[in-house]
Amino acid sequence: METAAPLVASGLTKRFGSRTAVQDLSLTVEEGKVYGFLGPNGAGKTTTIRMMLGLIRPSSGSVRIFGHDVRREFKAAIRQVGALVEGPAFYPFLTAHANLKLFGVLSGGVPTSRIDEVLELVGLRARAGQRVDGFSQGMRQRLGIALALLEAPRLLLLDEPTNGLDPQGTREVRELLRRIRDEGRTTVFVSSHLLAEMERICDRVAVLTQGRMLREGSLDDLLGHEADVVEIEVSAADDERARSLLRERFGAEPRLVRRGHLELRKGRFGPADVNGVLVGEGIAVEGLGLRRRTLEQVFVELTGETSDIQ
Amino acid sequence: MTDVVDFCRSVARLVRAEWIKLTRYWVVLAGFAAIAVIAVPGTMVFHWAEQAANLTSNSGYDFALSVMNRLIDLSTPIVYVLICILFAIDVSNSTVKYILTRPVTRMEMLCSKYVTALGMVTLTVLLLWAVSLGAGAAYYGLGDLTENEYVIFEGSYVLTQYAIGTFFVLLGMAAVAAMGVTVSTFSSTMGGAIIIGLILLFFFNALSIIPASLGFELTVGGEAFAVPWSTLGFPNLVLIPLDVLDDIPTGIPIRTWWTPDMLRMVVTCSLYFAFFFVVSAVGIRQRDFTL
Repeated sequence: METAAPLVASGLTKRFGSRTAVQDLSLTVEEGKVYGFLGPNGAGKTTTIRMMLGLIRPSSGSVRIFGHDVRREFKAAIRQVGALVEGPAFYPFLTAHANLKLFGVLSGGVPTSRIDEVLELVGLRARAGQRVDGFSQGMRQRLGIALALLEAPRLLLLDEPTNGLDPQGTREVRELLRRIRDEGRTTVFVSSHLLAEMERICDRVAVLTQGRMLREGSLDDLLGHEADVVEIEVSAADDERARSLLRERFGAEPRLVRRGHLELRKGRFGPADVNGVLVGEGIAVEGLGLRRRTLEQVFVELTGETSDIQ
Repeated sequence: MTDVVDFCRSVARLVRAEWIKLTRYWVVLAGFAAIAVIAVPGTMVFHWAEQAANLTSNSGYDFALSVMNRLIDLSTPIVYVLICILFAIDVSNSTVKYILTRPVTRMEMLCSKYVTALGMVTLTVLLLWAVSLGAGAAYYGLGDLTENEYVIFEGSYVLTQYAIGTFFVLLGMAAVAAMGVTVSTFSSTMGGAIIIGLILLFFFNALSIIPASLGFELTVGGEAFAVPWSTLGFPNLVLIPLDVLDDIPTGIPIRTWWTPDMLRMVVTCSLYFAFFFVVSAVGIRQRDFTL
């Protein structure tokens, strides 16, 4: 028997008055994969996740979780989901352990050993008895992830799970998601604007901006299978001249990543051609390489957005 | 049938979670502590004033009744405010998004709030019952009701009537509690819920001071009933059962609880309860939780 996909959104649209937050969004998440939902702030990621969880009503369209319509068969659908939606939220006057226990009660109770296990998983075991109002943003975020994992869900919906985390915390969340993916028992749908992080953990991504899906596919589909970006390092004093020279010679717009560091999408020319042009004009090339495009580059090409994307 | 059982189980789980939460929240604990603090010294002051004015009937039941009357008046706004924050506490802390992403429907969540609110009201009334009867027993004793050593009513009769009256008080307070839950359902902050809640309580209390001569006629089964506008001020109707009980210490037995005033109170409070329940149910079904 064929099992239903963990998450299917069909024609999802949400309007707030005259403003359309999400428009005609459709996607399918395959079992055991990590699906990245990317977009700048205000793109409609959180609104989409809220609709997926039944927190807000779609203006049109539907969401099915493991074949169950979220609106018509809410309990059957949501029973298999763990979620962290737009920042963690807890009762500040309760301890971390008490918060998890209380939310566990809603599904019929969770053993203390499981609460300890998820707290251990997110590195909060030692703080289990501490009231949440004394927690930092990063600790709350970890506790939010612990809560999402509490009932060992088959589908994990995480909205910006690394928000408020320091680099170490971000790395830990990434490792956690990798581990979950490798175990293959849980499907993960994760929204973020941290593209470098997403590139490391996602099997498939969707790019959203202004409520519309611009592109959806596997990372290989989006980034290409081959290395096609030429990285060039010159002295900082020469970068603008090198940029205009390459633009003039190859008809492609080089991107100034930082002072002295340029990137150029490979065309019919290669690193050797670039080197020849620059050296021929008296610009010393300090470094030259070829690599695959990053998700950030694809994102910028698709959306033109750069401001809050990292 | 399985749907009903499932519904009841979910509500029971939610109510359990509510009590775990509320019994650890200092605002709620402070609220009940305030009720107790008002009740105990209030009773002592009342006894002192009775003695000083030489107005005592020397009846423990009479004393308990008078005290209960005043304590209900003082405690209702406190428990009402606590009920107003029942839903707002989850919305303001954004925890409602976790609750609603568990296998729990919005209707189950709402019903759990109503059950919790009724529990809080019952707890309050029981607390006041215990304090007033306890004080009556301590000051005058709670044996048979006597006058010059003649037994007017047996203690068991008085206690039974007292319990019936308290039950009707609970019915009236349930309508007040329903108003609190409804306010809470539409609120996003605890402060907002309390302010709007108190405005509504004041408004409905104010209705009860409309002169009783003003009103309208309601025809039921060919019989016309005069309904004063003041009946719409339902929070004050809560005290009607205690007025009925007032007859006992004077030696008049309660032949029927279904006096016109009691009927008006039961019908009005039931209608208000139903009205608030429907409004809150529609509200919670339609509400988008964009937290």
